[in-house]
Amino acid sequence: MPKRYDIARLLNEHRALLMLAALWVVLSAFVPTFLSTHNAATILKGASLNAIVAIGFTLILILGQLDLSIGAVVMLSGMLTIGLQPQLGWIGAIAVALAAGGLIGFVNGWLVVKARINSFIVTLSTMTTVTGLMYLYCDGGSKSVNDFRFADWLETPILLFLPPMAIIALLLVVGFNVFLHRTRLGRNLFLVGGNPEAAWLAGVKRDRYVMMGFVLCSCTAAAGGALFAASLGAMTSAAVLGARTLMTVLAAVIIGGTKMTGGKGSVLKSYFAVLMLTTLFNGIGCIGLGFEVQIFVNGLVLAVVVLYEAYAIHRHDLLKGRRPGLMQEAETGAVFKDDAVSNNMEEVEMRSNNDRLALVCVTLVALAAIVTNAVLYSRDMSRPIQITVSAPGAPVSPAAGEAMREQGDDVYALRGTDGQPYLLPSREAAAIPPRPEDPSALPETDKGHWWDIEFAGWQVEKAPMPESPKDGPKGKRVVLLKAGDHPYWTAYVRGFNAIADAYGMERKIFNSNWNMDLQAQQTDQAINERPDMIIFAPVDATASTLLLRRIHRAGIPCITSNTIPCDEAMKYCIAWTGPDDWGQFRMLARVFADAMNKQGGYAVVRHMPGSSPFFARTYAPITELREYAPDMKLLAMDTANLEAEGTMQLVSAWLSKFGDELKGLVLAGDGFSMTGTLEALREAGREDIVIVAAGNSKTGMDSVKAGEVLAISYQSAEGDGALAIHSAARWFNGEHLDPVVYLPRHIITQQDVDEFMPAQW
Amino acid sequence: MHKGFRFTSALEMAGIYLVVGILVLAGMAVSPKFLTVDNLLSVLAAVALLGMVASGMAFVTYSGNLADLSVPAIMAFSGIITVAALPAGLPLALAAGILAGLAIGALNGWVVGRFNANSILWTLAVAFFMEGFMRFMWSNNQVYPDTEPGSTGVAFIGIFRTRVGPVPLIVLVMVAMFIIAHLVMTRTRFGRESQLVGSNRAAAQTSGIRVSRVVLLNFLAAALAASIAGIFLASMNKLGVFYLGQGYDFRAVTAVVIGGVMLSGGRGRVAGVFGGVLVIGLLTNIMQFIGITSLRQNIVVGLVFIAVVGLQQYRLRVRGKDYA
Repeated sequence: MPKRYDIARLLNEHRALLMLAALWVVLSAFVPTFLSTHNAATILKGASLNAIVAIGFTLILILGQLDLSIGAVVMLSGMLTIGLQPQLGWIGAIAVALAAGGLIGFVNGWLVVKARINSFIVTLSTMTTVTGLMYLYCDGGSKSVNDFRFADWLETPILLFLPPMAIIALLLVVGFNVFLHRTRLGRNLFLVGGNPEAAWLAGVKRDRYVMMGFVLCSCTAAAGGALFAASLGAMTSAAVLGARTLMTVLAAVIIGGTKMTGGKGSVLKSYFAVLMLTTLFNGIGCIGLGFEVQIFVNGLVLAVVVLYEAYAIHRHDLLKGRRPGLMQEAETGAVFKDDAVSNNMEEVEMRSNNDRLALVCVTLVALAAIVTNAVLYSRDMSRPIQITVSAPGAPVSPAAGEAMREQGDDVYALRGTDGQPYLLPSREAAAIPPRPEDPSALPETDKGHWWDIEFAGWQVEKAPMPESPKDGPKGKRVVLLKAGDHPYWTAYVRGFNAIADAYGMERKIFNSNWNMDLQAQQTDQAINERPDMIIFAPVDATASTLLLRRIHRAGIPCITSNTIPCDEAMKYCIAWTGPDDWGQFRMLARVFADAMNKQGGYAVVRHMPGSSPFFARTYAPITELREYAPDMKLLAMDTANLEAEGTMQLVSAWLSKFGDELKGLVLAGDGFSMTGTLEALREAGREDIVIVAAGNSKTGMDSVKAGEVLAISYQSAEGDGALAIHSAARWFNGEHLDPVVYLPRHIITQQDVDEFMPAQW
Repeated sequence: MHKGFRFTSALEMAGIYLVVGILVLAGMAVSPKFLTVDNLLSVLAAVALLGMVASGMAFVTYSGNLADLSVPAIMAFSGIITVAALPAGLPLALAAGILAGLAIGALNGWVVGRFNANSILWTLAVAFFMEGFMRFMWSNNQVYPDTEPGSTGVAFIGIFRTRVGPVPLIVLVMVAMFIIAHLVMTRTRFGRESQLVGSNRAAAQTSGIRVSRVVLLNFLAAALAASIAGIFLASMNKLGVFYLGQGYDFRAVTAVVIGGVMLSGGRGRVAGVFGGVLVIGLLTNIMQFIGITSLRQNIVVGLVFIAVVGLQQYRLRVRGKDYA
């Protein structure tokens, strides 16, 4: 008969599954949009990257080692898969990616086993090195393929509602689970990790197993990365993906019950824990709460688990060696008996009882899940998804139209926190130069090289778009998929909400925290909500193509915002709205050149690699200055990830290196990189250097006002958000939208800086 | 015996300064402008914040608790609290900021010390929920000080920008923190207890050392150092926000480990950590002189890191002092 303590232990053993089940029950009961096969598929599919990476990570923890390089390996392998696909095909590219992963794992293993360096240190070093290699390969940009068939296959349901992506993850998990528990090789891993001395005595070669563990760990990470990249048909180089994958997987594996000290763990439980965290993020998103709540709850769950385990061991230690009887009682629930053998027998029996009970529990949960899903599946199939498309050509009553226009005028009168109007009615017509024959053949310093990025979307042939209902924006449900959290985005949402309120539109906001993996999941989630419109702010210009295509295929109209997607992606959205990064920087470059009398050396502090301004805010000024002021010389360009300390170090080094040759600086941001730059200049006593930057934060405007900075661009965050939702409203009215809608261009200098105060962020 | 130990330990430390020397020579070869007072001061200023964090992180590693991953959260939190508390006056605001950081350190130290929780996991969890908490409390916004002339905000912003003669205050603070950390680790009972706890926690427990208290103090030291760095960082950026300090966790561990403090605990010197910080600063500076972009610097830094640490381990192994 199991005692109280056994039940507690049993619950703890299966905590990941139980938490998952509990979460499902609670969310199904309270969140109406949560329970559907579409959402279940979203969760299973969205979890696949982390689930596959978690397999290898569980193995490495079982061995008592740690691998911090998994995030970097995910990114490198994804990049290799996409980069090599055109030459090698999918199978070849994925094979190379896996081989690269295996090689990295081999290096890790070799350094741990042969050089006997702590795995934490070894993998910390490989994490940095592999990230560098990834950047070397992609040069801070993204890569994509034109062939979407494989990606389509990966997400089309083939077994009930399960797409191959989820099935591959599931098969790998089950396969590794069998390997770990049913083969000698796998079981020896536990021995090596849990009790190295016993393993040695048993003749198990520890070094080989550790080596195998590292290779498998890197291989699964590479497999996860390759699959993820294949499912997007593209890969981003924004390092957030790798960093968050590492953190989430680490948290999940621990929540799943794997011990960092080695010798204990289960791939299956890690899978459940990954599913639990994915469900948690999904559910919190369904309720409409932000990323802050998700990360908070994630931390809390991890903290409770760590604390519970530590406490259990602590309690055990307290009892150890003091009162053996009490200890025995606490451990087995049995009263201490004199006969140790019979006691042992009893314990063995109890253990097998426990196992049987656990098996029954698991089977019950699995059965319940299968039944629920089957019921849901049949229900969903019998009730086709309703796509909100009103009858074509439904006449709008003139009175309603009039009211709308009046409302529209009110919208133009609204002003943001900086006293500027959110929206400006007139837009200058953009002059698009002709596209060069082959842009990539031109050098990077030629304007034509960047044509496809600078003028993305202007001349693309759109896929057939959903019809506007032509019944006005009132009461329409809009989902905003924003790229991340930043004060700029807080202001963006402020502008977005102001206009949405003016029109009486409903909205829900998802935040992907700059993580491509999360944005892919949230896109599916947004589609499941069946809104009237999705406004999509891509994390990555190139890697968002398939996500937009997915939205388009679901028949939901979509407007992209802020970061301009690549040409291919623009096919699938009605329009893009946002700042004209290239145009603004061309204007800025001219102001810059005029102030420097069109001569002297300059350097560029670049944006974060993996973002589109990384190129726009570097090459717009460089190409413009080459034509406008050919005597000006580009001395250096580099990124410091928009950190003040890093920028300070970078600019200081430039000042030492170039001395008086350096006369001007172009900055990709007027926040931290400007602060760092100004510090470096002040320390070197170089107040003569001309600075221009992308604007317009409080820091930047204060600096312009103080005369430390010549000019910044006016990029209204509130206007950015307002423009997106306003364009949506115009579309609901049946108005025609240009494929590209720019925010007004303006350069702020000391003369007019006061008009834009106080700053929005 | 005792003398011999000191001598070898000094030799171990000399290793990292050998690397510093090689880097200085390399820098001189790269550019004549490398070895100027201005450039070297700028290197020191660039790694000053990292050095501060590392001087505290060294205690956590030294006592066998690997690393404190909540350092970025501590830095951000102390910065935000200081900026938010500025209306109460500068001294009070600084105290509030440091106390806020120490509170997180105390929580870490208590849990890890009392229950022997895994420090990496626990501090990761703390970093997660502190990030969520700060995002929630300040709605993902930046907190600005009041910058009216003569206000406490201006004084606060001036902290980072203060100079003593030609030397920036942050460099002096960093050096002072290293000296204090060195004295605490070598000259006090707490330092020796930390070493024993790091070498063998069970033995320390058995020999009557209050392990939980020692670990608590170690985490408090890390939190104190991180809060001071966080306040300087906020002062530099003229604002407080939840993501200031990101990346300092792994960077500080790199500096600590490259400086010869063993992750297995109980071995290493604060002076070595200072050398490690110098190595990172010089290496970056030289690469910037050569014109290696930061995207590629990663590769060099990763390789140098593993090479230096590998050599240290090899020397230890040759002398039969392999603990790892």
